[in-house]
Amino acid sequence: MNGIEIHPVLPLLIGAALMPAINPAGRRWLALLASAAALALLLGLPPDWRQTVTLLGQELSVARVDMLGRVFALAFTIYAVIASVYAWEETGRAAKAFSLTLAAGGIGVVLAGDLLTLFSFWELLTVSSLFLIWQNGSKQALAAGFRYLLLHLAGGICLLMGILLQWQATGSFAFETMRLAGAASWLMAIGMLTNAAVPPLHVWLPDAYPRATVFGTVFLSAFTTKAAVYALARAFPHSEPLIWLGACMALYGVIFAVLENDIRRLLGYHIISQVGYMVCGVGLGTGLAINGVAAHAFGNIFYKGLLMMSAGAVIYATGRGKLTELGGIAKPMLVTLIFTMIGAFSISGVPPFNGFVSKSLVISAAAYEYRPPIELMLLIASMGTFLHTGLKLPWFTFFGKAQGAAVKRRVPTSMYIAMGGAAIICTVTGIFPNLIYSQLPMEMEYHPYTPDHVVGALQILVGTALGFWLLRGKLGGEPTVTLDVDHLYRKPIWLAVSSAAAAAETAGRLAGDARKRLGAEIVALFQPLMQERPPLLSTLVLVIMAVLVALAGMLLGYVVIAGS
Amino acid sequence: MTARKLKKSQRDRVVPVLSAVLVALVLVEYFFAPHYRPVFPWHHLPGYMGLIGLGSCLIVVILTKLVGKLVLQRPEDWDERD
Repeated sequence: MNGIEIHPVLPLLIGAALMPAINPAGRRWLALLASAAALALLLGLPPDWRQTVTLLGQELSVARVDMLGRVFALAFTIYAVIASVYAWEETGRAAKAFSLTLAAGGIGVVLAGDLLTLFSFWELLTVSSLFLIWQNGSKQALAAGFRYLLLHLAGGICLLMGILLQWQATGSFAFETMRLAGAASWLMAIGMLTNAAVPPLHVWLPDAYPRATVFGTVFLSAFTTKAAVYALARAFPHSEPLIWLGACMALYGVIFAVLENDIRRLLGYHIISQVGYMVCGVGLGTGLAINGVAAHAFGNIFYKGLLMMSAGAVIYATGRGKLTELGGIAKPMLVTLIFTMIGAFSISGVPPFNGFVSKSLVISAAAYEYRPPIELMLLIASMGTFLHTGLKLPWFTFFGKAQGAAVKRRVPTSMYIAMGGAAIICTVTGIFPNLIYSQLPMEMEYHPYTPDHVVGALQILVGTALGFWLLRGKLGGEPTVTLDVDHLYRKPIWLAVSSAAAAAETAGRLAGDARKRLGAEIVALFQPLMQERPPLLSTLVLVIMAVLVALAGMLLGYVVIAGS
Repeated sequence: MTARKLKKSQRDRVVPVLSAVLVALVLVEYFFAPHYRPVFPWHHLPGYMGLIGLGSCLIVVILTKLVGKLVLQRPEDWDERD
């Protein structure tokens, strides 16, 4: 394999840069080829491959391909290929380019060899996600994008401050296992927990993901949270707080899913719940648990992707995305129903799908570490997962009382091919768990298909089904929205921003035309990146925030360097 | 295929059938598949997984719906209002 040792993000970044220069039909092929090239390059890299680059006198370790990073990168690159097929009908210049940079950000994070490289790709994830959310062009997507940005900028700043404090203390940007103690490590952890959507830092996920286009959501759901899980697994395994945060998070997601009516928001809360298993596994930190984290992240990328793709197909075909507005479309959307069920069985841990072989690792790890409450919380979260994605979602979307939803657009073949690909991966890696187990970073002896495991899993599922049937009258969607913790601060922040804006408006009026011209320039700068003309006020807030963040970063860097 | 189209006699049979399957699984566990590596005392109790499934389902749904009604749920256009 000598001679073709190239960082897998390179074709993705080049593809993204070329996107504007190519006609719409060519963009589909470019996205697919760039993703396939990334996968091929990753497979061609020798074990423990490293790459360093010297930039401004600082040596950067831009790639470190060990077993832990490799299994995440493998899932990301395969998924990028599948999602590029799913998004075949999407030919927008910006949508195509940012989906590639998003994948590059995710792969860059899991292959990052030092903290500065990690931070650069971390911010690439944030920016790419933001512009993907904005591609929907609706007013709600625009607003959700700004809320997304504010939280992720705050998280990114925490990560950066932590990295700089760490550098000040140790003189190194090494990205290795650390102890979760002291300001530097906690700041880094808070940045990572924001991207992993750990409550109460999770609100950006159910807020923004469902507001992207059906294609955008399929890309978004894979990368940011799982890259953050990788970062936590690399930096903070064996950390008591993460065990409890993860277990609470697994429950939090399924509890909010009880009340959810929007199908993509419901799936968003289930991302939170599933990532909870991973964060908990990182906290447990044993070999079995870390393998469980990696295997569950790998599986999650495909079954959650499959569920988001099927939900996208329903929305694409019917134009509706709420349980109260769907129902009675099982016959015309039979193929989509089958794919939904494969994704639902996988996420619920039904044998022999892939969720069963990965979730068991984390739950067993909790038991073997003598943690009864954690095991119980994870088992209850399994119940909730099956209740909502395995029973409630398919029942009220496809069966249930028809609410006048009809198939208005044929689902394109490309979407079916992509869903088929994800479904095959979910099934085959479930039947042959060694396909995944052999890729895992730690040595372990584990057999998922023992009689007691299978019977135990079936008992939980049948018990849940019985509960669902008894309560099915209560479980239908309701035409409501659910308050999450973001409503504690959204109104006060909005008041502060609008009063600041009013003050700026008054000051600006004095400056007259100059202000208008500057505003128009800034809007013109951002307009090509969005589908809709952004409101001047929001754009100004964005620019001011970005400048403040840059200033804070520089100031901090100066303080740290001057102090050392 | 929809809920409405299931005959009443079929609907009446769902609970007994699921209960029978659950009992059968507990018996299978007791006779053929005891816990492979029991850690906690209740791992020896046949059917504890089924109990967690059914019990937590009822508790989680009823409690969450209650809290939803009392505190968390708002009309759909709530976000757009000022």
